[in-house]
Amino acid sequence: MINNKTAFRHELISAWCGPAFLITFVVFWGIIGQNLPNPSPALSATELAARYAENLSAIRLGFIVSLITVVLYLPWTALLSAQMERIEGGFPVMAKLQLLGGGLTVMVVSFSAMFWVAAAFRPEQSPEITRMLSDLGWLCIDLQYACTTLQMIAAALVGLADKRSVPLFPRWVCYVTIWCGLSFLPASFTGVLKTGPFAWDGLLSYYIPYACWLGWFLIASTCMIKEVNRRKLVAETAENSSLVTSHA
Amino acid sequence: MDLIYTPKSVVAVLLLVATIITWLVFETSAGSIYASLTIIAIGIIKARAIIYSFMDIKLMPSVWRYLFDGWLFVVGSVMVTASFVALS
Amino acid sequence: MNSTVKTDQGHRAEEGIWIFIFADMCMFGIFFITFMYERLKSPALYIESQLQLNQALGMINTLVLLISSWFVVLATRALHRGRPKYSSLFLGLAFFCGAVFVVNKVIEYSEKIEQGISILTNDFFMFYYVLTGIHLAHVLGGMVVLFVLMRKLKNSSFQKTGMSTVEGGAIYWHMVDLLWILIFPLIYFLR
Repeated sequence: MINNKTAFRHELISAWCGPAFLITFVVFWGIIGQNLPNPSPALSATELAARYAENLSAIRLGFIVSLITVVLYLPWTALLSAQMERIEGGFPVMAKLQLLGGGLTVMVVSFSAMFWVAAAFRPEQSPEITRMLSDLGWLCIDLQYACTTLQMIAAALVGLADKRSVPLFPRWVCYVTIWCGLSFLPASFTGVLKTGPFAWDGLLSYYIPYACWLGWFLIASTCMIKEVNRRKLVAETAENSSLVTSHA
Repeated sequence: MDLIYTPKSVVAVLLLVATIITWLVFETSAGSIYASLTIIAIGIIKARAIIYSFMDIKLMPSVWRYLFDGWLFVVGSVMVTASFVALS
Repeated sequence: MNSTVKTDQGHRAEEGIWIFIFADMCMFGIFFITFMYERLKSPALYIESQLQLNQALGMINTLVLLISSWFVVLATRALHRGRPKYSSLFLGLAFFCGAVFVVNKVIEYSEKIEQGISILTNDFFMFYYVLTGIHLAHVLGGMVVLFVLMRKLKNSSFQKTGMSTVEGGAIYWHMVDLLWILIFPLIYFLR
């Protein structure tokens, strides 16, 4: 068994991967990748190809780096599962579900960024091909939110069942988590609509769901970091007092 | 049936009646600004009745009443404004 | 009955539920405001499209949901007065009303689709399908909640300690009713 100090170091690093994911996602996927605002599904193929041509280096840089940094979501998810397992005890089903949901979320986000790198790979190709690849990316990330919803609901359910005096997630966080997980539902309309607030560039299918996902992620990260530090403090205090008694 | 005799049941009946009134207003004068305002007002009042009577918001700290009344005010105002703007 | 029976104060649902409810209402609030804003851009289109809606089914649904909310009120009251079997009964009746709502909506949607009106037909119908569709998802979720509460009420310890959970579920259902009370005139009646 690895010693306590190493274990806590791994845990803290994993917890801080949360804020790291958040920042790199916003900077590379959002800003550099030209997703703020993101391209409208109503753009013609020529307009979209022109957008790619005008921002080629930024788009390539943004999404190629995103593909690397998106995996910061994984150690964070793994830590959350470990924390949930302590709460669930013998049969940690929800912890495993969260793990799966988090892992698949990374795949969904990853694939969509990869499609956009592919779209930018040969700018001289026919605009329809560029648009098809861009569409693939958006539909991939916007229609496949359910694994993330499950991840969040699993975490919330365990959070609600946590009966310790200082729970991992305060109760209000659990309810906000459930609501945020469900806020993705309107994004299903991106599969059909090309204009309006429910298209993939709209308020209700893009800005609100993504803000909810990242907002939850930030709140949960804060709770998780605090929990690791709490346990670390308890372990250190116990170790110090046993040192004292052994010298007495 | 003492389970049913309660002020909330009265509220429920009034809500049903208000719904019928809304429909009558619509049937007789749809399109007029007065009809729109009446329909909006009845809708907001019904919503408030549900929040205060059925959902028992008074059991919660008062901040919740401000939040929900605020929500009703905002949504109601936007509806009224939109109705007036649509007139022009 | 004891003359000092408690008033309908009941037990509070926990604060977290209210946070969820308020957040959900804010989301629908944004839907409503967006709808009204978009409507101002092409009022004639919206009015003309609205004429094709089935107001009668909409009205029936409004009444059905109101009655279901009433049943939920009676259910929490019954539980508070120590009559869990009646509580279950009223919840079952509310569930049945929910089912009626769902069936009505399916009929309404089928009718529209047969007339060739889909979510892509125009902006009005986009809002129509999206708003009523997301609301319908909430109704279905609410029916699951009611069902779970009915099952939990079979447990005698839950009958004594589960008041706040039942209140929580009840408040969610009232919100679903409240939202329809605003959606219905907004989409079907306002010109």
